[in-house]
Amino acid sequence: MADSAWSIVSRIAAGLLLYTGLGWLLSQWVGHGPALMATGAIVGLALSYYLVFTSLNRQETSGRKADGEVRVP
Amino acid sequence: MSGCGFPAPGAEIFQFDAVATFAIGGLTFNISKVTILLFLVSLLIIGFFTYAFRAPKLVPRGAQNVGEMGYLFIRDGIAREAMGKEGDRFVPFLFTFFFMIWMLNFMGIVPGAQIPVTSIFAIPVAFALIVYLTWVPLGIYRQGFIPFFKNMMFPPGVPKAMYLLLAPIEFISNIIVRPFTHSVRLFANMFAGHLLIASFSVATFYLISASVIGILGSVASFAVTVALTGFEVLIQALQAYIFTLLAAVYISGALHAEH
Repeated sequence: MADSAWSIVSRIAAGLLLYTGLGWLLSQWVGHGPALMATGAIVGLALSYYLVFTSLNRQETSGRKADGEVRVP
Repeated sequence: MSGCGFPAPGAEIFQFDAVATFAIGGLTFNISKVTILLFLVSLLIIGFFTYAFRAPKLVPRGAQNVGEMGYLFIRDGIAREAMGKEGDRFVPFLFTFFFMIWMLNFMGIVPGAQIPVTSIFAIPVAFALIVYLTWVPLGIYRQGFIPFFKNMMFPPGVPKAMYLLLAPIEFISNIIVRPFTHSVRLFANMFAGHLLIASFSVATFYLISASVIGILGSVASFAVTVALTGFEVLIQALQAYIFTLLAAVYISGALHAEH
């Protein structure tokens, strides 16, 4: 489905934006320069990937069930 | 960069002077080429489909045939594909978007018009906002306020503790990033395509001179212009299709919670 492709883009963008922003805010408060912002970017990217993988896995599993295929554990 | 003096077209080819200006209640309206094209395309679409369906026959011929093909393409290829039978109610909405955007894109290669109207950022933004203001209230209406956001923000199959970190990502990606990417995708494609065609057209005239290399460069640029124009015809239809398909997918997601 076209949407799963585009949702990957928007999830990665959202995760990066949110956690880079949080890292920046935290660095403004604590004062560790760009280190916290970079950490935030990496954490955000990791979380976005996690979200993308779980949602794609779920779609594939439900797709196979709908096709009547038995999933091998 | 000043070197050879190649007059590379830039953002100024997307700016048009107002041909008429008027004010209503303190708001100033500028009528430019883009505005005129927007109205012209609207009239063209209304005119064509009114003509096509003015006296519908059981066995369609001519314009009615074309109109029905367009209708069936939107109904079966987009609405039912994304929403099933329920999609039939949204066919007029999607139909209008598809043909409007396609024809506005098409203006990019019509001699005289030669500007894809959707490459003016305000226009895709307005379209994306209409879609956004359709699926968000629709989702709240169909699923209820709390369940709508709950279904959006808490995807199943994730450990409970992760929700604290993931729910904000889902919220931002659906509510903030989605309308943005929806409009930018159309805008950027049409903007870049128009800029490419303009650049090679300029190069065709710029490179021409009474020398072998000049003639070769000019002919090559002209060939690329022709090829890009052909390519652009494909992109114009494709971008209209993608925009409409995504609108259908968003509405579908608002009607039923994703599982």
